[in-house]
Amino acid sequence: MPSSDSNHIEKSFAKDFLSLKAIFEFVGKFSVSNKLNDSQVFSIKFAIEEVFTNMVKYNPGNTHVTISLNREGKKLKVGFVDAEEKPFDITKKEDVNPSLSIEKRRPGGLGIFLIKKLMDDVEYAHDGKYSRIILTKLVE
Amino acid sequence: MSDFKIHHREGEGVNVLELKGYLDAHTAPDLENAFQQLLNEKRYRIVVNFKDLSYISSAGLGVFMAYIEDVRKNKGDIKLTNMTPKVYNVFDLLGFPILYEIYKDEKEAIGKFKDGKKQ
Repeated sequence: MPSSDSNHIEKSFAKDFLSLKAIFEFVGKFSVSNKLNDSQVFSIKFAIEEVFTNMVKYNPGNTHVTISLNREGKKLKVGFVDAEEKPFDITKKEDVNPSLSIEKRRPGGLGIFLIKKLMDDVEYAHDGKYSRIILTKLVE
Repeated sequence: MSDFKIHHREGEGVNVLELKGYLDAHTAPDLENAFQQLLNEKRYRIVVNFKDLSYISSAGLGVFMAYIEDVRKNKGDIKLTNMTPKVYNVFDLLGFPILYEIYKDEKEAIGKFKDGKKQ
């Protein structure tokens, strides 16, 4: 069941790229009630899309991902819960090197690198059944 | 909200793609198709105008990476223009300004093709 108040909102989304429109609306609603600026909203949408699409692409086993947004003073926390037997810790993913030429760059890794740049903290936990990711963005 | 549109026009031998809306994992294939169609028609002088692009994700950024080498091998280029600060920021974080020519406005980018720097 979706839950919400002005500082906390949570909803499950079908694992499909088509869900992105609903996810952006979900973020938009929270952003208005929490008076986030355009730059903050852009970063949050970007980070959510990257984590969500990774879950769609690499863990297609279950059908839904639960996403939550939680404002705690100056901290905005974005949570993801995904049923996943094999852990994939995004914090361990090797960073891309932005100074490399096109010829030397390998595909992939752009999204996770940018999550780390656009958000202030990335936490990953796995309990044997679920992967839980919490992204933190400091907001004024 | 996450609608995405591409408007293609051509003038003076340069193909301009105007992007509008949200370029995300769901809509990135539309941009891939647009680039692929230009390459199929051997049109390698390409300017992408970002004026009305509200949002881009790594899926969208990856499309530019996927086509730039093929375009340059054919003596063309993909030049980028009119980015908003939010969109420019993600290009900048990835070091894309050293990989792509990025201009403030479309006329300037078209002018660079006319200067004959890259045909």
